Amino acid sequence: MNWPCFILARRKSERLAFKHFLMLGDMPMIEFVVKRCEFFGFKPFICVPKGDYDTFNERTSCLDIFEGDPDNVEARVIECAHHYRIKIFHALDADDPFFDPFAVLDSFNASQTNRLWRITPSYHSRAGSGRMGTTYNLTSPSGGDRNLLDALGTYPWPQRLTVDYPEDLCLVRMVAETLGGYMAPRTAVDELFVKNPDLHKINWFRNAEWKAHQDDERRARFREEVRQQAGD
Amino acid sequence: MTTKKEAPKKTKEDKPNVVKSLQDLKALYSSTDVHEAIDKAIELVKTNK
Repeated sequence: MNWPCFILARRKSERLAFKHFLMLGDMPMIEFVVKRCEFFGFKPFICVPKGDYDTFNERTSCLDIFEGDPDNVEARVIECAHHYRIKIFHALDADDPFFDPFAVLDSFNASQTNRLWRITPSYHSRAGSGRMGTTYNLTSPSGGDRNLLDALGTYPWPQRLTVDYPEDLCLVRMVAETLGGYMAPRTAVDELFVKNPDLHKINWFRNAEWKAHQDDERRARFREEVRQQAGD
Repeated sequence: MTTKKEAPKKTKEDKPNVVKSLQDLKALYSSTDVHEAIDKAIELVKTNK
């Protein structure tokens, strides 16, 4: 059986515009995540806000694209599950191109064996671990939540590789090029960072120089919006 | 019954030049730490080929 994975995405993104359609390897990032899902034996469903269907449809080979609640992500995910009559599924962020397939399986297993309703693969899934996403088990609506541990023997703190800024995209492109694209095992990704700790510095954002760049870009975007509104 | 949709068509230009994008990123920063990290990344990409 192929476990269903809902890939959460939206056309607009403030920090890195249209990030899901930027090229990673030789395909758009959204297609990269779809292919990775299929490669590791999951069944991908793309879950987007209302109005985004056409944009995603023309950039991915995934047939199952669901449009739902434009604002509330969890509501959209539940709508999607009802639409496809799926009871247990994992929700992945589409900006996490090197998600850990074993974290997804751990999460699925925990949801079934413990009859929980919502599981994240680690304590840090929402705040910055490499083990991202959430498993929902709609057959146990009162089963409670649980965060699993970051219990990887060799690499206890997997690198977070979500794409939010241009620096992330550069780094992720470099990882894809080095490790062979969407088929790269997550252990190889983590090993790359363990062996080359300097790589962290490429998207080691929280420094004054990075902040200054971000502020400049934000100001430029704001000026552009104001100019466009004045033109309208 | 659904049929498999074809993947979006790609052209040669679609594949980003990873080394160039890393070099462009390097130009944005003056920090030596970041420069060293980017040099190492470029080296990794090049030696892998």
